[in-house]
Amino acid sequence: MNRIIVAIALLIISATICTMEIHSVSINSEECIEKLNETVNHMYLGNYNEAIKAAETASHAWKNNTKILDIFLYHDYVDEITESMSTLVINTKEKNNKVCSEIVEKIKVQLASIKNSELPYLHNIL
Amino acid sequence: MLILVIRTVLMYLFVIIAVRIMGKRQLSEMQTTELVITLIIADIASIPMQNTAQPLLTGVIPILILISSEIIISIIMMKSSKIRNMICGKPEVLVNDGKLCQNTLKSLRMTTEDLSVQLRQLGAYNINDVQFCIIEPNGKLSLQLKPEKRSPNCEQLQVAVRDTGIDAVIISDGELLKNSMKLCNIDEEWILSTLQKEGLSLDNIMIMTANKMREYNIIRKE
Repeated sequence: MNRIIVAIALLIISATICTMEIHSVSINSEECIEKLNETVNHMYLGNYNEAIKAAETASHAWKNNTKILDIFLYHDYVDEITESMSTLVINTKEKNNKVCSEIVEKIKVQLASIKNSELPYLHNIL
Repeated sequence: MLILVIRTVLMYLFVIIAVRIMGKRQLSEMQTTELVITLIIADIASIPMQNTAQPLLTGVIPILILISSEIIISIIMMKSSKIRNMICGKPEVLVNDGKLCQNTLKSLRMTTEDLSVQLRQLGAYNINDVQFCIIEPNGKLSLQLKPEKRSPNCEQLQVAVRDTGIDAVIISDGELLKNSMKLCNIDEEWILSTLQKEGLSLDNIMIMTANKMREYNIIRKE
């Protein structure tokens, strides 16, 4: 009887950690995408100061979140996005609208890829 | 490098706890499923140890799932002989009443050399001496010799033998082992007085064995 309680407890712990991971990745991705969209919108409206602020906030928030995300995700994936964020901030300051849009799209694809790869779809399992 | 050291220690402790939860100590006593899981755990645990870019959880979570699956499967196997036979297999008779079951040998893909090696390791140098030989689900052979080849026991020789109970280790490397003392019905007072009689103290003792008849044997530390 004790062993089965241990087994169930281990399964619950695993399920909790997996749920926390999916939730954490999902929330962080959405927050990040929101800030990135804000950055791009400000850039196209010519509000470069607002755009720089939004880009820096997004980058700073992402760097803070990497402490949690590194527990769940391969560090390489997280580091790639961190790198892209830094590049975005630089290009925002240089008012490169086209490059900023490209970087934002790249980050969105990376975030979507991380998020989707953690979901239990058949192609992910196989 | 420091991270590697910390991860290695953490995973090592975690794997010890995980295998301990499984509840088997010796490789030879493991059922098929436990052996498979132990091998897989070893492999899974080594990956995050070596690759610091990989989260530790990628080793921890699969191990937790494997351990809980193993516990659940072992409970199901305990309750259902059908499932047990399906997963672990059944014992097979290789020698039945002195006759070698050649078809069983063939189906197990076991050669006569393999069989002879295992029989010799069990003390049977001549297959004609064997009455029954069974291969267990864990791959080990169990043997019964023909009656005329078996060693007689005390009952058959009508020899009265004193029952001294179990000889247990009651002191190991200077430390008293309470469980063994209980087994032999021996208290600490007797042990200390015996040591005093021998002019020894606990610290001098490497091993002390005793039984319920208070017969003891001491090996001192060098």
